[in-house]
Amino acid sequence: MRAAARLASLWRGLFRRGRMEAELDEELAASFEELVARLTAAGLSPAEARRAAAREMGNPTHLKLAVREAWVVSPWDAAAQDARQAWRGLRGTPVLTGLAVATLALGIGATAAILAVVRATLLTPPPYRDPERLVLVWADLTAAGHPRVPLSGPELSDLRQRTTSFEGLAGIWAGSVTLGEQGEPEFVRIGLVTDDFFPLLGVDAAAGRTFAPTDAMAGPPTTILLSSQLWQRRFGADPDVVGRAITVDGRPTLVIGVLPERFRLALPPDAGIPDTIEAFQLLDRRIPEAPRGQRFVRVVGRRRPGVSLHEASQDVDRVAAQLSREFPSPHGSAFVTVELGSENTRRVRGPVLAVAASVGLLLAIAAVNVLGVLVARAAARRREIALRVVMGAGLLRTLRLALAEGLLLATLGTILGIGVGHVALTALLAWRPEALRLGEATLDARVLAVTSALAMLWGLLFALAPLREHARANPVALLAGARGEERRVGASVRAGLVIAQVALTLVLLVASGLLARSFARIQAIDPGFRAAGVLTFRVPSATPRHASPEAREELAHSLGARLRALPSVTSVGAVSHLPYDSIPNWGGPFSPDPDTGQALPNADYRSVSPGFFEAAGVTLLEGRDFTDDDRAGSEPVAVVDDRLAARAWPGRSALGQRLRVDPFSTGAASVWVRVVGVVRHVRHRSLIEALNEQVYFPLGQAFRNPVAYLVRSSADASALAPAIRAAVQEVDPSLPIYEVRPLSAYLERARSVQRFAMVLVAAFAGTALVLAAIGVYGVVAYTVVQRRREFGVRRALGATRGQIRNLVLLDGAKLTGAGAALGLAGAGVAARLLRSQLWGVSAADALTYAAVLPVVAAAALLACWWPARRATSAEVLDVLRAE
Amino acid sequence: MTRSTELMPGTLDLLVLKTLELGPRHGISVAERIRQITAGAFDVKPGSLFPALHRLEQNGDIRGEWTVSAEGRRVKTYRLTVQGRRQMAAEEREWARVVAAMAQVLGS
Repeated sequence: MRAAARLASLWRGLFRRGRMEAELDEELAASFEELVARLTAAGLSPAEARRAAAREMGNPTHLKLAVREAWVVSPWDAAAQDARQAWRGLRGTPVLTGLAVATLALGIGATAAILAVVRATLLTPPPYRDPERLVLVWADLTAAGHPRVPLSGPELSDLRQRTTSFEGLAGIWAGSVTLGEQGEPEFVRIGLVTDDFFPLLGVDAAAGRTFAPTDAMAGPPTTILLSSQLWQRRFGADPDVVGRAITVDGRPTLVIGVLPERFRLALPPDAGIPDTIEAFQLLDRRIPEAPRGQRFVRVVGRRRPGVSLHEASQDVDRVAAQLSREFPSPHGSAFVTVELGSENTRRVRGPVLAVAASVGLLLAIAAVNVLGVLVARAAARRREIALRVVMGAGLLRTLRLALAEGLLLATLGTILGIGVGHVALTALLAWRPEALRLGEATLDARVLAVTSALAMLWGLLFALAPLREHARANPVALLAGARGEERRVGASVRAGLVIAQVALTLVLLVASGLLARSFARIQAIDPGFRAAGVLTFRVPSATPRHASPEAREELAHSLGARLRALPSVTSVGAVSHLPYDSIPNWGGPFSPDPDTGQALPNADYRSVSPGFFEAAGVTLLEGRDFTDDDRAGSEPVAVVDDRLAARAWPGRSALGQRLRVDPFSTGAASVWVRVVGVVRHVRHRSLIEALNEQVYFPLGQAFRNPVAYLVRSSADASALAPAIRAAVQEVDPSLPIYEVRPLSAYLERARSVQRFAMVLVAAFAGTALVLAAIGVYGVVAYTVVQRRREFGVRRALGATRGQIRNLVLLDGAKLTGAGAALGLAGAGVAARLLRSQLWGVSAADALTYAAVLPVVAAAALLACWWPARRATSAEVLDVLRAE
Repeated sequence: MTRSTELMPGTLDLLVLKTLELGPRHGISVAERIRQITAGAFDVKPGSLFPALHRLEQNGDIRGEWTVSAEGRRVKTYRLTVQGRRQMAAEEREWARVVAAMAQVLGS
């Protein structure tokens, strides 16, 4: 019964407040008239009666306040009332409130966006069933310069038969096919998998089925599994396509199914399996009989439940030891077993964490900033609070109000901050550094929950910090006008806040400076080729119509001739791999004649056409480029890089020397080639990591399909795209042309992760600098207002404007100095943590520190300048008269 | 002028309920009635009377209604609810217990 009454009153309190107020007014007015009537009846004159009745009723405001307190019957209602009052309080100081909310929104927005990125890149497990049990097994050829190498077919089959820790071990390799005949020929990247690949991941087809053991063929695959994206794009989401034959590489191929829309390949970037794979076919059934040296299978395994990574790893190592004995090879057999999840994030973890840490710092600065504003505001409102205390508002009520203000600020900041975060994330996604796989970053419920919780924690902090001011204030002394009191209370807290802001900002600026310097170094690295002015594209170098070596040669020849004939084109070349593309690396052993007697690392192999070196801008140091005469049947030749030449024939010319290599991936260096040229080493797979020596073969002798063309132009290369498409069409209308893009795009991609970290940290550092400047300004300006009387007296006693200005500036300088000193110490620590993200720059890089200090000092002094001028403009007599 | 006594906390609610036991009254009349029956010992000012009335109304012990007074003025009168009657009885018992206990302490 009572509970029902309370509920009803709560409802009235929330939604009928206006009506209740009106009724209360009416009731009090009626009661007043009643009193007047009674007093008049008792013999008073009407005027006297009204005066007496008014006395009896007391202060109407207080009366109504007391009645409203009576309306408050639930904590909820009390909170609503507190919130209303807090809102009135915040509205009373619009500038400070606006500043606090904007700062908070900025901090919360940045945090939300970066949390979403961290979640998508680092915290989201691969989208497969029980992803924690999935592992990758690599061959470990560290001695040959490759810590992670794919396995060979026989090795996969050995592991499957001899290990006991796995439910299964599946393989994947990347390839490409031409989808043809119906419609325009289209080039599609495909994944070549073992039949158990999808069941192992726990992925089922959305339509049709995935592969079955009976699909596996000896020879070219006869079935294909489409991704949802390819199915929609090329087949218009036609459900009847499943079960139908389509033309793949000129062969009729049965579509057995379509993968779910949300399926994606999540393999580490260095696996060399592109993210852009759009269909899957089966690996040749005979891969267990392939040579042991042909290492191309990326192996994914699923541990049995209860088997730890360590146990699985030992199991694999045991088999590796057996294989080493059974099949002796120069580097032995060693395998490395790693978790799929952590392997996926290995490369991006550092940069993403660096960005997240700097957002944390920014958040701290924003919090300190708001805190400073609130403390200043509390100090300014101390008279009001003191008045409340004297009027009998209990400490609890004051605390509740402070809490309400803090939480209200935090709520406003959060609402606005989510908007800011949304915009920031959208911008980040539009930018989308490929290597980060940001595709799935969203402000989902969990990100929002964590951000809001963080904001509310701040709200509490915001509420409690000003309370300290109130608690220390002596209400009686305050109201009696003891002005000196005002300056001392809280001054140390505010000074501390400024110092903290300056220090945190310095840390961020140093971090951003170091990242910018190392990015500049990376930018300045000479990759060994000249990307400017080159447009690239890929085409198949063989089709069913150009199957014979002669036909292939004819195709290359006529396409090359047409491209060279285009206006402004200065050179044209073709190559098996473009720098920093995502197709699997190609490499193998080499052994020079005479043998150096030492175990040599593997080399990277590339097949190139005549003219490639010129088109790519790779410097030919000695000897000659390939010519059309370097074809099948003529003497096998190679061009090597200067590193290989120096290693194989130290102190001698490499020209004319013989080299044993393995261009057909048989597993042994068994083909003799003669060195006809030496080129400069190219950083073609990573800008910053040490790479292997390089061997170039003529495409005519080591055929690769597809190939990439490089077209160098003396004018704007990207303007050539339409002419290039037309040229390809003319040569063969069935040739699909794809990935038409400037060579510089590959170079940018290679730097994208570093750029991502650098730009974001720089943005945060810039924001931090602005926030800190606002913070310093706020505190100094507030101090100036408080010290106006003192300045007035000083002026009256003969101080010049300049002297007073310097007084304020000196105050600011002291705070900045202390903050900078603290910040330098912090920056030293932060820089050491950042070391793994730096390249070519020491964590103690003096130049960075030297450049950052004046920036902070200038910003801080600029922030002090305005208040300092205000201090001097205080009119002496005005101030003193105000007392 | 009779000496008015400080009300003990919590007693005002019981007094108001008791006043309304015999029939509905408006606010000023409640105060008047209390003054009358306590012979002026308790002079309840509007400043504490109205909050008490509203508190009791929020709790559902009394209910306010707009009526027209004998003099033809629109007034808000309060009447005891069933629940209020129970509440009053409970508080009366509690009060009697306190008085008895106090008497024992003071008398011993």
